[in-house]
Amino acid sequence: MHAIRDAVGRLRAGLTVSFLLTSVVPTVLAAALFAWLASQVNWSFVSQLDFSVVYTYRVALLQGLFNTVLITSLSLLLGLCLGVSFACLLYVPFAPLRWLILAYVEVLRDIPLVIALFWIHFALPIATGISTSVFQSAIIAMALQSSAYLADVVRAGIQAVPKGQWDAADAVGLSRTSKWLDVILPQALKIIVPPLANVAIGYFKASSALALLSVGELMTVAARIAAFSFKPIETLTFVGLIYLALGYVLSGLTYRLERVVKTTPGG
Amino acid sequence: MAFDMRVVWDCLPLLLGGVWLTVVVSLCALAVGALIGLVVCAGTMLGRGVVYRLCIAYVSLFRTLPETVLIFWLYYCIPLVLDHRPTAFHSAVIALAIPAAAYFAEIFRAGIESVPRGQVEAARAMGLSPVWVLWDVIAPQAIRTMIPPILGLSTIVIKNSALVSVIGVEELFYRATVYANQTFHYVEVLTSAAVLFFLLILPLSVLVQLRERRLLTRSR
Repeated sequence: MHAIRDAVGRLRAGLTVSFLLTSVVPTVLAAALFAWLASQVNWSFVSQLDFSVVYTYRVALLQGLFNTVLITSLSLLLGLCLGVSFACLLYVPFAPLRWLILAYVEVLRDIPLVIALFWIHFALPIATGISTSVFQSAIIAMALQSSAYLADVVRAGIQAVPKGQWDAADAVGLSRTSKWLDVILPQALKIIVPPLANVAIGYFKASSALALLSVGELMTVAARIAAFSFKPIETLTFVGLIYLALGYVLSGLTYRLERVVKTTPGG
Repeated sequence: MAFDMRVVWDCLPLLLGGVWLTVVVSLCALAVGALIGLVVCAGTMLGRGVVYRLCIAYVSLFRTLPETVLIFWLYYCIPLVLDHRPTAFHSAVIALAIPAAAYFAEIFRAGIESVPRGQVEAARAMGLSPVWVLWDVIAPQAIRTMIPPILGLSTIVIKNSALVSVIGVEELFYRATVYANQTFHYVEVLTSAAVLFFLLILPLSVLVQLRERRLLTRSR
């Protein structure tokens, strides 16, 4: 009898309200949610999924992936050059130029990428007479948009360079070019490595929106295969996994890059 | 080619209807996202167990997955998997709400964790029950720090709402492209759409920057 009473007492002591609230209730609710979802799924259809379609179109998918990486890296490289230039031009003592750059940054940050993309592809040729391929339009749109974000990031980096560095550069009599290229920018760029990497990952993700113009990157290819083969689940799930895998790899690389930059001595 | 203002006036009523739908889709997505985000946030604050891991996985998964992929996936795959065809509007709201919920969960968690631990301990020592600590001590302080990131998230959701045109929701971007394709007045119509998006997002963006600056100066 005593043994049973002890066991019940121990059970009761373990079953506190907080244990119920933080462990039992959430688990039961989550199980109920998944059970409900599972009851809604058409399992006879799901069991017939055929992922060989991914292998059939492997060349097209690889080509799409290559285009995604190419477009993202090219446009970010262009965007970084533009962004650094804009951030430096903010320090030119001429107010209208500064207002112009700030307006440019604000406008491009507040417009969806697809609007910029369609504007550049369809409106710009009419307005200027210069026609661009979808690939060029995509790179221009992403470069312009990222330049606005990167200008902001670089400006924050420049502001974070200690005041003493500016004074020291002036005190040793460096020319203005040398002060910017040898003292300020190297330190600013080192400070902005983490936000820079985040912008890069963001634009890798955002490049999937280029599918709205059928630019030929991974998402375009996926949508085409899904429509052509009547196997949307297999194609889109696989492509989603590719994006996830690459996204996680990039985040991991960012994390390591941050640590490398942090532990590197000197400016 | 000259910029024809008459075309702008002609397409403006149509585009303004699109603005309305953009706002409705974005607000619905934000509301649903905040609800899911609240649940996920509670899950991530458990600290251990199956539910905690599921919530952490949810946040990391939907922060990494591109929105376009999710929009396509939900629209093409849900009818096949579930034997039930949601309307384009419902698909759009869910597709925008799912990633928003992941960001909401992070914003809520960061906001709650930004309240100094001593505040909670002091309130508990005064004899306040946990519910009142949450309501009277944590919430007022946490919500203040959450406002700028939530406004920032709203601008992102509005911008992403242009993507749901791909599944046939007649929001601003959809109407602009269809009208421009029919009339070939690409410059006027697309510029108008861009200006409308800009006017929609600018106030939020300015508010975020002002709030952030104020928070910075106060914490100094």
